Amino acid sequence: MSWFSFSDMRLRRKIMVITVISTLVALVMVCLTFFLYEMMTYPEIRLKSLATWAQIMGDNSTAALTFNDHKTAQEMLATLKANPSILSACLYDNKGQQFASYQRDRAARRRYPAVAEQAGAESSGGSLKIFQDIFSGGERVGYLFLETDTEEMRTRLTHYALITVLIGLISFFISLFVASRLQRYVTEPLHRVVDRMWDIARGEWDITKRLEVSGRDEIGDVAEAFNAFMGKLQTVKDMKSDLISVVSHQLKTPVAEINGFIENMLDGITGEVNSRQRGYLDQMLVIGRGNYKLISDLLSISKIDRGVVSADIHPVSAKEVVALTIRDYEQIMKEKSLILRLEGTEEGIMLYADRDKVVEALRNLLNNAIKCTDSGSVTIRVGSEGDQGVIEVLDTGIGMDEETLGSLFTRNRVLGQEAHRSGAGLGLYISKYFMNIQKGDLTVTSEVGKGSCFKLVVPKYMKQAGTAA
Amino acid sequence: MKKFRRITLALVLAIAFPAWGQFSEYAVKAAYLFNFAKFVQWPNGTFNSAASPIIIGVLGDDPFGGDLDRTVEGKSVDGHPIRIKRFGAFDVTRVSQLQKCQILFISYSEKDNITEILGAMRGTDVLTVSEIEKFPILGGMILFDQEGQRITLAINPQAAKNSRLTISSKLLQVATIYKSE
Repeated sequence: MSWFSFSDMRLRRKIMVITVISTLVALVMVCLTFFLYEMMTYPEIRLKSLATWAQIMGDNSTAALTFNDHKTAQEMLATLKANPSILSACLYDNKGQQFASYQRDRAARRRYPAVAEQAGAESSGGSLKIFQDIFSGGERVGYLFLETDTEEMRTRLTHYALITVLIGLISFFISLFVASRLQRYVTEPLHRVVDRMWDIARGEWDITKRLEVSGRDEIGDVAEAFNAFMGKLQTVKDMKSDLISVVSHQLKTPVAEINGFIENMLDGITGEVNSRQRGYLDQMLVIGRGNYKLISDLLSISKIDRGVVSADIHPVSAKEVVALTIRDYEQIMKEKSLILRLEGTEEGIMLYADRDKVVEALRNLLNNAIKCTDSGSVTIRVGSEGDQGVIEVLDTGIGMDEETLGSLFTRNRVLGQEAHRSGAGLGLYISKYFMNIQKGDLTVTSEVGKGSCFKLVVPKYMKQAGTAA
Repeated sequence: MKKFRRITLALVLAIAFPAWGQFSEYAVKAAYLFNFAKFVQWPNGTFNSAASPIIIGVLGDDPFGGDLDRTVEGKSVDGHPIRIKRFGAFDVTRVSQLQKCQILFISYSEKDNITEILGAMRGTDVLTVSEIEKFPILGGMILFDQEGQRITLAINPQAAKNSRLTISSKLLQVATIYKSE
């Protein structure tokens, strides 16, 4: 963050900078105004003050002048000590001759005019001189001369500057403090909104989430606009799910029928099939089944998206589940020369689960295992851990690296490059989802080049309890 | 410090001296006599009207010659013109005349009658001025005194107050203050 780039500044600092600058600008303007006012009015005030002193001094000295009392006049002028800015003073008699005098600094030996001059004021080099007539009973009895120095003016200006700097510093810190307090009212709700947005963005796009609208200000507007945006997004997503749902539903039955017809032809119902025709029909059946699987997966996904998937949970034996799973794959494995091993299927473990969904999950796992294994074996191992039933699918295939494992159960993987190998790639996401909704789970361990082990966990059926906990 | 001030004063006096040195003693005293009118306030009812004259009486031999007349000629104080009245030697039968003055100068020639004169003037609103020694102590108001060449004033404010006269503090400031015995 550069000090000079205002647009890159955090909002917190922007608010503080704006507050402090506007405070200081206002303050400087006020101080400047006072300063200018002082500069403009001070000479006049000074002259008035001096004239007042002259008036008082003159008035007090009428008797001394009238009755020729130098001593009293001298003493009276000495009272000017009370005003340190008066540099010198001189009293003249009615002939204009010096009568009594005063000097603030005796050593300075200020000169005063030898004889009285015309009444009036004169300002030169900061010092102010004034001549005043002294009247008594309508008769002029003498003159008074007063002179002030520049000291007072300088002192005043210095004081002004000091006060300005002091007040400037104080108000700078006060406004800094106030700004640092007040900026929170803006930045904190904003941070909350931004944090929540990031939460939503990172959290797999859970578009059902909404921001809390904290106030009626612009930040509240942002939250509201964001919520409206999320609502719109959800509508679009729902439309997409509906479309997929309708299309896949419409496609599923025809594809199943085509597959059925191909199977019938292969079974010879339509007459003798020669080896060349059989070859084509086999290919058609593989493609047809692939399509069927893809359509089923899409349908499952759209159901998951719309939240209409429910588990139909009953006691079911693990042996039955395994049997249903491997039924369609024995042929393929035989063709690929893979050995299928079954372990623990005879132990009579009963699961409390949705049979069809467990079977579909297992078929996905077995399908993947066969696809990824070119030689060796695939093992289905049934066991139990506490009150959980465990079915593991192990292969001796190519295995997966860490990066692949990390995103294995997410639906985003579908769009990845490896779709060529694992089909649509939605299978694992669907399988894990199916397991999760029946209090089970699906996990994986794998090692590149040695094979993978998928572990499917579902609750066991407890005879005493009657239902699963 | 005090000494220094005295030297300064002496210097100032030396400079200023020629300024009044050219006037005779009685010319100065005549001016003073007139100026007293500016620093003294007479009680209400003293003057019949705003233009009533201030009468300066001279009792006994007139030492001013023509100076007093020249000083007051054409002058007025607060609208009151100045009038001079000469009475000659003190005469008990003319006391009521004396009492009509605002300022009464008692000449040195009346030195022997001073107690009697002051007794007659007691309680009247007449400002009494004289050059007779101990004048303020005897119950007079203003004495022309002498300090070297300089004419100074000695005042008995209590005596003035008894006659319902108000002497300005400015005048008191330049005078030596005395009390009656």
